[in-house]
Amino acid sequence: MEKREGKSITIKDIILSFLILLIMVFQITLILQNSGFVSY
Amino acid sequence: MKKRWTIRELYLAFLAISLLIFGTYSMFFSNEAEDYASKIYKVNSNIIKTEQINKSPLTFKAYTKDDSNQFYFVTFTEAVGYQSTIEVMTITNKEGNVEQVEVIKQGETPVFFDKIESAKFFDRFIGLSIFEPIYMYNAEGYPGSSEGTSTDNKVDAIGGATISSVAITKAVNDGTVLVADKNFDENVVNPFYKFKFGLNELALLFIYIIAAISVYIKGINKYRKWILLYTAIIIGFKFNKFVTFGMLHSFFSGNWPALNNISWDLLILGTMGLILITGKNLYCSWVCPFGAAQEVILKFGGLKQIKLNSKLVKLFRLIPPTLAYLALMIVFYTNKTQSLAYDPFGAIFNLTALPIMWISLPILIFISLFQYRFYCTYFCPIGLTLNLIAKLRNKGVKLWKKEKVKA
Repeated sequence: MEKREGKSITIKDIILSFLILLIMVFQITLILQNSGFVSY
Repeated sequence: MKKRWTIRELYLAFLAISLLIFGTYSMFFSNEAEDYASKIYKVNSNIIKTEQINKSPLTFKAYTKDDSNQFYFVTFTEAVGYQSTIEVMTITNKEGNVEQVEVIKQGETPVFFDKIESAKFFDRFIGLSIFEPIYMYNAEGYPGSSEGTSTDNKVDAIGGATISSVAITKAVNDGTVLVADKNFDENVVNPFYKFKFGLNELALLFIYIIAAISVYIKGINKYRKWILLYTAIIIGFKFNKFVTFGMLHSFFSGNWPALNNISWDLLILGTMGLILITGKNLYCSWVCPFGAAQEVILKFGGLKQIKLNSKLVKLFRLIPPTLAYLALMIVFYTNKTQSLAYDPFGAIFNLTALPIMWISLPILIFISLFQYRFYCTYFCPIGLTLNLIAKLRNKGVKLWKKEKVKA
């Protein structure tokens, strides 16, 4: 899998983490929209 | 030495235990007795009296206030749709024509169901005869399709929401066939129970055979790139076949469709069967068209993989259980399954989704260019569930073997 051993966080890690968190927020919004708690 | 629990394990245990408690509670203790007669009064204000004449499927005779000789037959039936059980009320007049069709409960993905409602799909049943089956037009390959039958007693399926359209029509037929038989002495055969093995079932069966073979013949991995391309294009884009979180929820809550729904049988029973036999989650690695699409993008894209820091990977791997927990808790609380539809499969393969998914999809596809199965790793609830089942199966087998050795 795409694991990389090592302690230091690089700029790539930060960008990728940002995108993962962004999609996570989108997914939560989608769950809430689909269930009717948040309108779309 | 006593094993100490990590925060991660404690968090996952908390999610699992609370889901188990609330799931059991919502399944066994919060079922309110449904008052079906009141639903009839609600949809047709002309009805003043109802009388139950059959238990399964539930059927009423409903009398109107304008004319004491006028009455209707009202049936309540259900069918499994795209990702939920759809409950349908069908009102038939004493001449044997459909008067009204209403969906009284459903948990389909809202964007798909909106299509059915805005196209006034239910009105298409009005006036159709119950003395012959009500077929489905524009649904080639589905059970109940009118292809090869010359009849006017049919309804047009809604494009992009075919599975839900078929389920509603099947449920209507379940009701009308019964009313025709019991009250008019007309024997009508419901075409939705006929076995139909078409091209899409064949395509699906083919990939399941490949998946099963891959466990025993490792050489097949040489062709993996091309097989996955087939999965993505044929299973995904052409036939739109994939497991959804809602389907898994239906399976575990016992809401199974009729056995002649071969696609469902293959997708759910086939997937579970392969896990039980091989102990491996072969659905994700070979059958899932979105997983395949991501891997194909990575393999054909030829870009160098970016590897995320292992500590971050470990942390972000908590996202799938957290999302699944949130969605399932909402289902247990509201008793509606719509919240389970947060996957991108409908968007990419059926081109139907909410705006927020349209924003997510390009990001998911872009990252797939240099990350191995990005969506599967950090978000997918299906992979999470299937891997959990495989894990439990393997633990069970191990324990069983241990006991056998002891004995």
